[in-house]
Amino acid sequence: MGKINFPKVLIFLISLLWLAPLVTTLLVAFKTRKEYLNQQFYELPSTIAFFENLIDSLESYKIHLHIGNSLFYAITAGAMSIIFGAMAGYNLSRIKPKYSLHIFFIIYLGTVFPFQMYLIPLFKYYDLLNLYDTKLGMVLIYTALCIPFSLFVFRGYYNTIPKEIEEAAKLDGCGIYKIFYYIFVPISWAPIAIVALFQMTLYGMIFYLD
Amino acid sequence: MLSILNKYILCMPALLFVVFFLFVPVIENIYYSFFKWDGLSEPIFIGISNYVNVINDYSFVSSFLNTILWVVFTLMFPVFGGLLIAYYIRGLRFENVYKTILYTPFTISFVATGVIWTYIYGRDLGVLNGVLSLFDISKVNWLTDYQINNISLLIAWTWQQLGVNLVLYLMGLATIPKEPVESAMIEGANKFQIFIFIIIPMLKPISVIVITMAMVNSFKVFDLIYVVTRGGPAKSTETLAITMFRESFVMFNMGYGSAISIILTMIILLISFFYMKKSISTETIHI
Repeated sequence: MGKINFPKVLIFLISLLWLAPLVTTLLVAFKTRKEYLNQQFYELPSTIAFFENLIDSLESYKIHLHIGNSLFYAITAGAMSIIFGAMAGYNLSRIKPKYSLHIFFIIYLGTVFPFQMYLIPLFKYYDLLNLYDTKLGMVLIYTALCIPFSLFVFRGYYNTIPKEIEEAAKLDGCGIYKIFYYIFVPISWAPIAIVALFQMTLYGMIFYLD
Repeated sequence: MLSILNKYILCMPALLFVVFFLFVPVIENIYYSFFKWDGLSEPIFIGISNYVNVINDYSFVSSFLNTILWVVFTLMFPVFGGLLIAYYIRGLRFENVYKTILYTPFTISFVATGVIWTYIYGRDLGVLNGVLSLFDISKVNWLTDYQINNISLLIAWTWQQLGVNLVLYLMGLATIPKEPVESAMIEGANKFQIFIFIIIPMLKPISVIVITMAMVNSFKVFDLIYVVTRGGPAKSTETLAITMFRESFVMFNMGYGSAISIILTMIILLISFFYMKKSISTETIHI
């Protein structure tokens, strides 16, 4: 009774600190230009200028187009990297051909390179193949960038699934593709959600390839 | 039983994608690092003198030291701090609320994070100086004073990255069995001792993943610094990723930039290879 729980208070303070930048930024979104320049940051705006600001940014920056593009890339490239990642994850964790660990490390190595490493040559190839400045080219490179992480998640998840299920299916006469389609795909909602979430947040970040 | 083709076909698309879009350009980049090339004219072969110039360059040394600072700080605050918070957050009344608040910054892109923190650190209209002026403290140049601007950027980085490490560590904490913790409690260990002697060793499998990912990301960080300070003033906030970008795409010394990027990649590869090898060989984990 009456004893202050120190970590609890600290966590409360930290989460307040974590909220502060978001709140102050949100406040600015509601201010007019004049208010932003004249007020202190903590003063509430006198009029709600959010919709004027929104319309302004729609008109001058056409953000609705950019949001559409971002969504398009996120959905197409996300779906492709999930499908290929799941296929490879199943292959490398269940069928386990020779050198499967090596293949996994080779693919996972893709996360290590800084983007400047592949930017110049990629630009050259895209120019050669007429892919530069096209949506197809963007989707392809996004997919390639996301596959390593997707494979990592799917492989880890498929490793935890007991072998017995697979063996029972094998006895009933399923081949590897049928096992994958009827057993592994229906139970992969959790990794799909994880990969989709992580990659959606990633697409916004990669601005330098545009 | 299965033919060779059948055995490998499912991992082929992923492998081909990564090889064609990442490995082939990287190998070509290694080739460019032996040339003097401005991106337009014919490359001139100059051997390893790009690498020699990089090592002797003063700005390389300073940005190398900055990179090390970023890595150390990342391991201390976003990773270890995330672990501490994950440990103390478990079982709290508003665990999910805290988790959501701390994770939210990660869903914001680096560019938007940079914009938010530029606004906070601004000299005259910035929030932080506004708060300080309430306590009659004079204005601080958060982003242009070269003694503190790295720390300012690292605080923004921590704000964004803590959440993801926290969530990953919470996942790891959920897999720890209750019995060792309970028996330690019976023997009279307090929460901090349990944390040091039981939780940290038992979290090793997830720690390997989290630490490797955080380390690689902190070596590669580019967008945040570029949006907020562009490596300035006077290259004081440059890390290797920024130096490489400046050399290649601002100064158009493609070969020189390639050499820096290869040195950076080698550092990342060596560190993560030895760390993972040392950690994995002693554990029977599936990664």
